[in-house]
Amino acid sequence: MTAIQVGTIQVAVVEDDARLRQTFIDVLESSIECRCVGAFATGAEAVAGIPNCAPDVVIMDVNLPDTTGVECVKLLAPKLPGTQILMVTVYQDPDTTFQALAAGAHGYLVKPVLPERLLEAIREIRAGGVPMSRTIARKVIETFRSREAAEEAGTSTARSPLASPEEESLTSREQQVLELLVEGFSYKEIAQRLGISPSTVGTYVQRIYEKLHVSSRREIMARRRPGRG
Amino acid sequence: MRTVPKPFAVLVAAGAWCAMAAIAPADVRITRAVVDGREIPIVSAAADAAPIRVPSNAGRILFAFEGEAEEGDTGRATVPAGAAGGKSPTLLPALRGTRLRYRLDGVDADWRDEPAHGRLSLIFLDAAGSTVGSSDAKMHGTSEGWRGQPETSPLKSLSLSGVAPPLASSVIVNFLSNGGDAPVGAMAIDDVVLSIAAEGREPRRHALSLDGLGDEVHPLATPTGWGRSGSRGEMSRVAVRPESGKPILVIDDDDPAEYGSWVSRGITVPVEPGDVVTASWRAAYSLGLGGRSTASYDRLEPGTYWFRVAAFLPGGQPTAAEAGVRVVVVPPWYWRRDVWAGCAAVGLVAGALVARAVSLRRMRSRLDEMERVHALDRERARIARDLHDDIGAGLTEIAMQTDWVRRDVQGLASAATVARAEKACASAIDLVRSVDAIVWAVNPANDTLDRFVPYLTHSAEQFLDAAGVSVRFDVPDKVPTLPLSGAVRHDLFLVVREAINNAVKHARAKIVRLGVRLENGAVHGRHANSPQLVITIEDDGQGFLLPTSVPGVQHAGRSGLANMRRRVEDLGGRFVIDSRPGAGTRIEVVVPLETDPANVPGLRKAGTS
Repeated sequence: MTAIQVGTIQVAVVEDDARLRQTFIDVLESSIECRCVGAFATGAEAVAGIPNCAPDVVIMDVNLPDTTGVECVKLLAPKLPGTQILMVTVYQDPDTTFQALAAGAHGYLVKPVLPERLLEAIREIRAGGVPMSRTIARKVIETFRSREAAEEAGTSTARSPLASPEEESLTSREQQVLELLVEGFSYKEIAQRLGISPSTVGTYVQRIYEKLHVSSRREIMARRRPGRG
Repeated sequence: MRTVPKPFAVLVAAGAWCAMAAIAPADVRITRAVVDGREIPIVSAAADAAPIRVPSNAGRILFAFEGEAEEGDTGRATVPAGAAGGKSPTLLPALRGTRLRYRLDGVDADWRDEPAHGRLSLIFLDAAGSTVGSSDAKMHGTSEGWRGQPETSPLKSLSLSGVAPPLASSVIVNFLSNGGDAPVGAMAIDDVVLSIAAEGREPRRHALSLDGLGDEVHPLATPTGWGRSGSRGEMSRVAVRPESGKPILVIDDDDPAEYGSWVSRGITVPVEPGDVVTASWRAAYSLGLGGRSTASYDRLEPGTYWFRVAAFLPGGQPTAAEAGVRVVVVPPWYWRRDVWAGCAAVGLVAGALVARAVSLRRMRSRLDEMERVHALDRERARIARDLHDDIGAGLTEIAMQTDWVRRDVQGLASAATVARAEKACASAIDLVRSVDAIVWAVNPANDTLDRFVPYLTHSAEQFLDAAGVSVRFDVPDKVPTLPLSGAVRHDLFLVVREAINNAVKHARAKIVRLGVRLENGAVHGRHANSPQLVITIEDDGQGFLLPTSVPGVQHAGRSGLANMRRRVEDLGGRFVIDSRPGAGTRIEVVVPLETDPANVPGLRKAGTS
């Protein structure tokens, strides 16, 4: 039927509500640049099926009937290094959103996701643009800070045996970007202040996410140890 | 054939038994009990101490506990400097740490310690040596026939498979004593054999054998291609099994805060993306909870329970050290106000159900009331779930479809038609958010200040970003975990939302500042000395004449102010508004927090911008 076109963004959808799932599929298929390569109603189906359809982008609902979207990301992200996961979250849940980002998601959308916004977000994420809200930036700073404190105290077990310190701590530039984000500056304003281009700010944010992923993906379990970060 | 250096073999055996006999009973403590995010003080863990009282409508009770082995003769063996090749004088051939187990009598049939495990991982690397994926096998509990140390315990065959992800070019094995809640114990493996299968190709076998150790295997020797890692490398050692004379990789983990690891970093096993890699190995292990952990239980039925934590020796033998706390789950005989308010907020559906429940409740005896409270609590959870799953999803669908309609008719239909579609979409979006806010508010897991504040700033940010208005926050870095009921959270949220809404829609502000801080002081006499939560919302908009300055005149669009004031005053708080035409608006909401100020860390902590 439809031949896979070069340059087409292949998208998989994980959404438990049948109506919404169909609408997502319809929106994706209505655009010329996206193609829906798989739609899944449960976490188990998604974890089993998504690696086979090798999508470029996964649209993942944060609430699933059998597991959470965050757990799904934890399982899928290590298996799909080339895939970007967009979390669909509820309006005011920074905790879950942050957990999803730490587990390996690359961005998030707030419900309700309007058709144009969905396609725009997919394009943005493929182009390397990733959003980071102030509340999320604040949580990222907290996470890195408490980990450093634990390491200084010599009690940390969160460091992976395979990661060098550079892979897991923030550079001063990344720290600056985060602090400006927390203060409420946009990518554009940050770029002006630091004398760099807005897309470079996006690159920094992307790197910060990667560092967050590296540490949490490798030693998710270690971080659950009580009393430590 | 390899031989074990004699003195060391003796030490190993002696050390192991000495550890079991000599460790003094450990100190075991239950440090916290938390019910739905609220800390319940534990006065004493003595058997006759007052029990913790928990209402039956509580969702989750969590216990935190810890324990440690007493210092003293812990059975650490010292290898003579000569035998250690002068490298390191101290080794840990024997297990020392305490292993904790817990149970809730009345719920658990046996002792539990499952949250701790060791692991063997397949780690896939790309050409540059970076990790691109991994698969894990857990080793949990005690392997069959465990005899106190890995050298003499039977080995159990285990295997693990993983598919090489895109970009993978090689695979290595990591064997580590790190998983779950702080495991302690000992674990050992022998040769790991990797079998790499791909379609249309014969499976390849790679044995990651333990070679290059020489005839006399020293505990600190390193097999070719393997390396020690982990937070404390010296936990990893090599041993020889007396029965076969074959070496094994051992990790003696006696410290819950640290872990040891063996990594096959120096053995290159090439893979291609899509290959199925199966690792097979044999292992002996005994791992359990060390240090600290937590256990939680959901929705306990009314009754008396006994939560116990006990220290066990590494081999699994009980010690005398045990701590316990009694828990009484009491059905409340009056209705909690926040439950009422939460239900009322759920709206028409909930309202009808609550009303029915109320009228029924009034006719029943107290005993019947308790049952109803319980049932209604479950009902509350179900309504919240249904609201989210059904109505929330339906409204989301309407928002998406109407937006699509708007896009389709844009340029074809009249401006009024496009505007109508936009309006329908905007209403649906508002409703989706209202439903989310209600679902969030009725969830008891969110009943604390440190959950509420990020929620508030995150919502404000999302809303203001969408409206193209800048926002600046003045919020403490760390917010204490103070109780804040669903009703209070919901009211405060609605007040702040209304204030921000006014700033955007009526004042046409460019910047909104949202401040949150904690202060000591009294709002009213009865709350003397309790900490109070101060929320400020400031904008640089056009401002207005305060309704009170023009008696009897209700400002257009400002009818919400009376509502906001009423909500705050109902919470025992104070609502202050300051505005003048052309000078922006400042709203301050002060509400008392019902808590002993002595328990509030970071009180009066200066805010940061």
